[in-house]
Amino acid sequence: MHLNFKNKKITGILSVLPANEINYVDEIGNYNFSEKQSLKLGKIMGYGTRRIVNEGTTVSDLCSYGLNYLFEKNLLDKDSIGAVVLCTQSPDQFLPATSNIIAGKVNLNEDVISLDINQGCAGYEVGLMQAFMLLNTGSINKVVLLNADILSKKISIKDRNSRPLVGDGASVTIIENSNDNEEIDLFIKMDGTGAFSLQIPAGGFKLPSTEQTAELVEDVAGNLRALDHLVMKGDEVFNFVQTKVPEMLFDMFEKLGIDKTYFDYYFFHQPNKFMLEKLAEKINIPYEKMPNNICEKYGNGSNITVPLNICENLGAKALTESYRVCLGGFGVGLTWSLIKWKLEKLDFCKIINY
Amino acid sequence: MTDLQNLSRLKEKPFVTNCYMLENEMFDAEQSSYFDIQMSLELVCLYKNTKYNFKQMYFFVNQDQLLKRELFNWKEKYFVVENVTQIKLAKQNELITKWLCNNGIYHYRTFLRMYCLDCMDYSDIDFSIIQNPNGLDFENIKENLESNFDIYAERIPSVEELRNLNKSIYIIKIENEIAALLISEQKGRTEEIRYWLVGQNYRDKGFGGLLMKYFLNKNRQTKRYTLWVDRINKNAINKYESFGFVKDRIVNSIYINKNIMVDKIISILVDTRPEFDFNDETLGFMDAGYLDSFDIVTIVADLEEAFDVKISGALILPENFQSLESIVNMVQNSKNAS
Repeated sequence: MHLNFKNKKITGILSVLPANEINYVDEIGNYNFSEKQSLKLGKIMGYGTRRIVNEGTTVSDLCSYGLNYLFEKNLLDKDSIGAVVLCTQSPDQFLPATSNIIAGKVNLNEDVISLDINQGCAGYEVGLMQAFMLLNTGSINKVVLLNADILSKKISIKDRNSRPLVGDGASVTIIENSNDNEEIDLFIKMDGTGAFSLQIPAGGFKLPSTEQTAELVEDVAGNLRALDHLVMKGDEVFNFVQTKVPEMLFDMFEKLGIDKTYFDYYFFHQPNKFMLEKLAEKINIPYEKMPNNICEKYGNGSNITVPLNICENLGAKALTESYRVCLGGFGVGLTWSLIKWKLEKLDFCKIINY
Repeated sequence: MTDLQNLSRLKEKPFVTNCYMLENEMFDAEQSSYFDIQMSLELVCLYKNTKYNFKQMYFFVNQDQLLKRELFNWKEKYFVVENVTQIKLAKQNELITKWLCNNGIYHYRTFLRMYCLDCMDYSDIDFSIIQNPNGLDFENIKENLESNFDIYAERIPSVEELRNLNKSIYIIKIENEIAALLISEQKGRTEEIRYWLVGQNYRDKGFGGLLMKYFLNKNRQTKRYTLWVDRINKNAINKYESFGFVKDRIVNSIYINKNIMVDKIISILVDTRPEFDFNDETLGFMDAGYLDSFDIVTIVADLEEAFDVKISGALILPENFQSLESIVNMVQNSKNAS
């Protein structure tokens, strides 16, 4: 699917990260693998430090903290918000929607629409798509897109396949109507036949959590995890990314009559360094144009890696310069998406600690 | 017919070779080869012994053969092929690579030649820490070379050869251990740097730079300095450039036969999963649980480093890691695509 939008701009991005930092090297002893193997894997995959929430911290805590920060710093006028869209896979509760909980926590008025979307690695692009459509109604001039996940709580500490990757955090992106005629092109595809390549099998209505679903079981590779934990078919996901994302990208180049040099940056979801390097090689662009430093510094925060990628790698430069960017998300669903956009000078672009 | 006559007959038609030895270096007075030889109307191969379990192979092949699919049975189990050529002959090199590949001999690494015609004056530097080796130093140097350089690509000299090179071996010893070394060899009016190495525990102390300055200073009368460097060793290339070396238009493409390649792949697999026997060809490594998707990641990185290749992400599929054969094919497909 190819969608085209106009007259929209991002005016600010804030990333909110838990202050609690975990180091991969300190956890190597948890895994059923030799230290040598784990260190080598860590170096290639880019496992370093990552941010993890403390017990009791929720998605609504991170998001409301970010919103209150923007209100207090006069970077966001509460009364100008028309809608809040939250993308998360780790809601506070099954019901109500976490965006409603957040709206209550920060005292948004009754005219503000609150929506939850269950999306992960492509959550930023899906959230932007929803924001664009809300702005197109003509009744809403400003949408707050919240992306947040705290999936570390759903990872077995003895799962070397997933544990070293996953970080937590939230981001707040402000999207507004503008007079800028710059076209925004959004490409998105979904393949439900791959829905279980990345999943948490238990804990929903189909298989509620019980003592049995909490029992750790060893897989063929020596990882221990329960049905309550996130499980990923690493090879399937990797191959999906390496085939589908370049396909979509080359298709986008052709449809829009551009080439790989058009973009200043490819701000892609960052599952791990290895996957990003392989993508950059496939597209034949320098690694620097597709930053891959988020996973090794903060962990793969699923929903938040794209906005965090922008905050980390552009930061204050985004306040004074404009950049042609390709945003990309791919993963759970399976969902993959790309956005061609021009980031005009932002009002804020930073990372804060929770 | 004698060996030499066989070769002469082949040379009557256009041919391609990687051999630059003179006839008297290859054949004795009775025109018999000094080396193991394999002959046919289209192909003459000489296999020169090394001190390892593989040989250096030199070929003379009828030019028409490069485009044919005819396959040869090689006489030796383990051998290496070097082909020194000019970069501008890329098209012919490509043909040779393809012909070798079709015959189970795979590109391994490529070395670039660098040269320097003029260097800075280093005469006011204190070089007193540098010495020539003696006694047991030669054994230690050989061990150092074997653990830091590739035996298939770097022609590691024997202890005897090192003793003969004595005056052009420069070392820095710290508490009786060789901390750094530089070995050169005079070739006509050219001084060729063969090895330049600083031990793992002695890096960032300026030893490497000091040795290079000493070497350049000592050979001030030399008209030309040369060296060969692995094209993927960007660090080394940068360092040589900082001393005034520039890239030449000559490359040495090194090929290994399939048996060497398979042995290297097995050692990579064993390094990843030492508990399993990867010589068992009846198993699918992934099906048997010998490897998982995260092992694949480290194996890909090792293969890329070992074989100077970038493996495409789209080829990183479980089925390409099921057997030694599938891994060989994946590496070759990646080479062909690059």
